[in-house]
Amino acid sequence: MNDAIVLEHVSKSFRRMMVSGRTTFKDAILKGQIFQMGRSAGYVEALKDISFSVSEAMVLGVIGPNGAGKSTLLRILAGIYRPTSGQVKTRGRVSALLSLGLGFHPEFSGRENILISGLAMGLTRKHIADISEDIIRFAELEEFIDAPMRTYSSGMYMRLAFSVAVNINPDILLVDEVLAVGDASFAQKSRARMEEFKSRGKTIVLATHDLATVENWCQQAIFLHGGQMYALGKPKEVVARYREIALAGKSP
Amino acid sequence: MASFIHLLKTIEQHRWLVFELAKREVKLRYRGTWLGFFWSLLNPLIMTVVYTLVFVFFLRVSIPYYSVFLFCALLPWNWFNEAVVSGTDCFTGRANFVRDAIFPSGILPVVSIGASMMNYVFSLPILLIALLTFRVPFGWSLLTLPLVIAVQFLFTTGIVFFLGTFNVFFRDLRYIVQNLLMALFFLTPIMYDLNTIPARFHFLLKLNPMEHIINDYRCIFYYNNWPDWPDTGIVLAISLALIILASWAFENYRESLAEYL
Repeated sequence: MNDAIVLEHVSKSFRRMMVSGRTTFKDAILKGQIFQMGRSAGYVEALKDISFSVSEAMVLGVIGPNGAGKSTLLRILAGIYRPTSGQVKTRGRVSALLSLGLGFHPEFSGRENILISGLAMGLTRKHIADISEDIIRFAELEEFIDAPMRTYSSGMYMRLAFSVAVNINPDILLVDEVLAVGDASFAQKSRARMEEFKSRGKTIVLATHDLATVENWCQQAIFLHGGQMYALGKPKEVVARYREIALAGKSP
Repeated sequence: MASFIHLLKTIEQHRWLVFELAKREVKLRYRGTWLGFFWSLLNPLIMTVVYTLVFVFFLRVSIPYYSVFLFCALLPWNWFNEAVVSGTDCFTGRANFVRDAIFPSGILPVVSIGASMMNYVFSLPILLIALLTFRVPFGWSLLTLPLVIAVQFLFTTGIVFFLGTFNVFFRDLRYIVQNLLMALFFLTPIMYDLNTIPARFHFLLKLNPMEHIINDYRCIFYYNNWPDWPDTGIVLAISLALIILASWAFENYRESLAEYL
């Protein structure tokens, strides 16, 4: 079986930022770092030496407490962050649902944003025209699709984001904590769509706090804690380890 | 050089995305206004009227067809000004694209410049009407306009890639840029003729690439002459060098952009 995703010794550190977010001129003068473009001395290691691979047609669950590095991991898989060290390989088109914003422009209509996202993903205009009705129907936004997205509710936003991400037919889908969004019927629908996805040999990486989903639905799971990978393997075992370590409040 | 080629490929691959985003940026600018796009004609028109009043009637400048003299230089300057101001903000103003989505952020500077270029191109008919009304002679050199536009586009691209990238890390840049542009507006012969200032200062003004670009526009629309090819060639070379340097800087900082936004 082919590997869809391979990570080898991936680490990611961030520069620690001040409350003000950036170095001001005064700080730069005082600390003599005017030419360092706001680089500060401190670093936070968000991911430490992570290695794993995911085969095609697998669903990988990523669990861990807040700040464990789940979102950083997904952004590295999406190519938005470059790892500080290590190698990442992904095969095929990657689609990502990383946060509510999802690169939508609030002033553009839903339809315009479908076009922009599609083009950004490398689809042709014709291809986007062909699938946009499906996207709109799946998102149940027929009525509002030509209104600017700033008028959308967060549920509508997320439905469109999800619908774009799954309908552009990616080979790898990265999902960060969004299955809970939308009402029960939409959640069920998106679950069904991801199920169909899986059966067509697509790879899904799901970062979530919903342990039941991971146990019932993923074939593989990893448990991140403080940027380190504590467990990798069968979801039941990984979840058990997570309960044992993170939920019990013990330091491992 | 490798990063330059990579950037070129990204832009080529996503040319439709550039076009669609630029088109929408133009539309967005005047959304909700009554006159809409006519504001981009009205702004330079009003400015020209005011300057003509001050220079021709108050200060008695003896440049013939002063309004055309000014207007043909003011329009491309406005494009430059707008492109640099909006381009400095091209990453900081689109944080959600860079940070939350798989998005080719390298195209954003080109989108800013393209959007403001559309404004320029749309205002050209007014300039032609002015040429006809004031009976300013013009000729075949008009056909070289696309070349001059292309040179300005490339020069602006080089500048904006630098400014846009570094503005993410050093946000004072946009305020510095606004002030510099204001100074540069007066230091570029737009309202006045280069020959009205003492000759010993000419070389200083000629260090500014925009001086040569503006001069080309003036050759085409005002002097009924061919652009100054040697000077234009130098500006083109400088622009290409700038773009290559800037694309190297951008590629180096590209992944850090997402972290800082």
